Amino acid sequence: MSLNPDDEGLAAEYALGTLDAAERAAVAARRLAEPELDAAISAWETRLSPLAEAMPELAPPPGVFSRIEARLGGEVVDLAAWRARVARWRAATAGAAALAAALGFVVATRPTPPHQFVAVLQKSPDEPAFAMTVDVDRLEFSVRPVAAQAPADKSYELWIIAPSQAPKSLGVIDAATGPRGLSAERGAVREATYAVTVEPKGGSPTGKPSGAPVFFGKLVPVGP
Amino acid sequence: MTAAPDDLAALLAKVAAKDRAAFSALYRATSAKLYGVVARILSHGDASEVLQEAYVKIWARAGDYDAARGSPLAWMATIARNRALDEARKSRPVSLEDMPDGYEPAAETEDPLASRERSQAYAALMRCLERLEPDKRAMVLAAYYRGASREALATRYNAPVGTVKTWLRRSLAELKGCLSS
Repeated sequence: MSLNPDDEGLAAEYALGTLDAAERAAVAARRLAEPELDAAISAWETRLSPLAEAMPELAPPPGVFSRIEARLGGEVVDLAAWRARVARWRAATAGAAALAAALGFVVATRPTPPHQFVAVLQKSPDEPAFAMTVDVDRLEFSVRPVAAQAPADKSYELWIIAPSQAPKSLGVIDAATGPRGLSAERGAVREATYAVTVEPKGGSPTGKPSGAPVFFGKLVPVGP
Repeated sequence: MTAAPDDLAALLAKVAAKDRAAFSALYRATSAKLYGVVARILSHGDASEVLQEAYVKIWARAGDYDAARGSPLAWMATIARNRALDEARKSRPVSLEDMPDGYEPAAETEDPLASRERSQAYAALMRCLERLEPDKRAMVLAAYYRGASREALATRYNAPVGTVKTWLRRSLAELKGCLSS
């Protein structure tokens, strides 16, 4: 609460919404590293929020909820929805050509045999993603980061979590991973949750995830 | 349409555990309120996109909700509003030209549906807002309801941007003082 008056004003204006784009971005970045500023913004958001609660309702257009569902974190999508999503990313994302090309590679070279599963591990469209394919017959998987880059001294590690079992490492994800063998039963492969954690460079030293997963998802079949 | 805060808190807790049915119920109970917030800041196409992003974020962060920092609806509305403001600043300056003459944003709160949930916090906030000079109050409300930037307010009130900044900060400081007294 011992914030200087200028930062207190900045926090108030951030919550009110009167800052310009550059100032908003700067404050949003600073609040991640400055707990006092973050607390001041939260306090202002709480102070002003009764206004939002009192605002008249307005019915959103139909179809919004199904589009939300298609974007949920760790969502595993059928290929048609996946392609639509790629098109949306292509339209929405700066530097999207590389992204679309990377996804296109997976789609083009993996023409959905019956026991093929596709997972897109992602929280929201502007966050890093992983595209994963699992061939349940061959017990093989491939995974590639899509617009995801681990911090310099960290690695992304993929885990399989079979029902009521401890997470088992599937290895570190680098630029091109797979196909790799899956040493698990077919049923478990299909039922499992897949998760990605951020680990020290080269992977978890303990054989267990170091923290909560940053991405996770389950498989559903592609096609019939 | 509007669920009680306790119900929403229970739904949020289930959503934090990735309960899809609870998420669907949460959307049904709150989306008209959140859309009401973002559609006053953005055009309808953008508002619908921002609403989607807000709920994706609510799904991902439901576990972060802290009852000590306000009602579930306030928490969700803040997520949606922040996202709408980012979008509004990114695309274009907000014009207040379409606001009718004599427009008094406080009138937008005269919503019979909202009266049930008018809390003590709301009453206190309105009481303190009423202590501001009418122009200053209108600025704060235009910023909150319509996402008006300093620049848009400067145009609207025919004042330099720096002066608007000074007015806003002074008004907000007065508001804070009044609320804590």
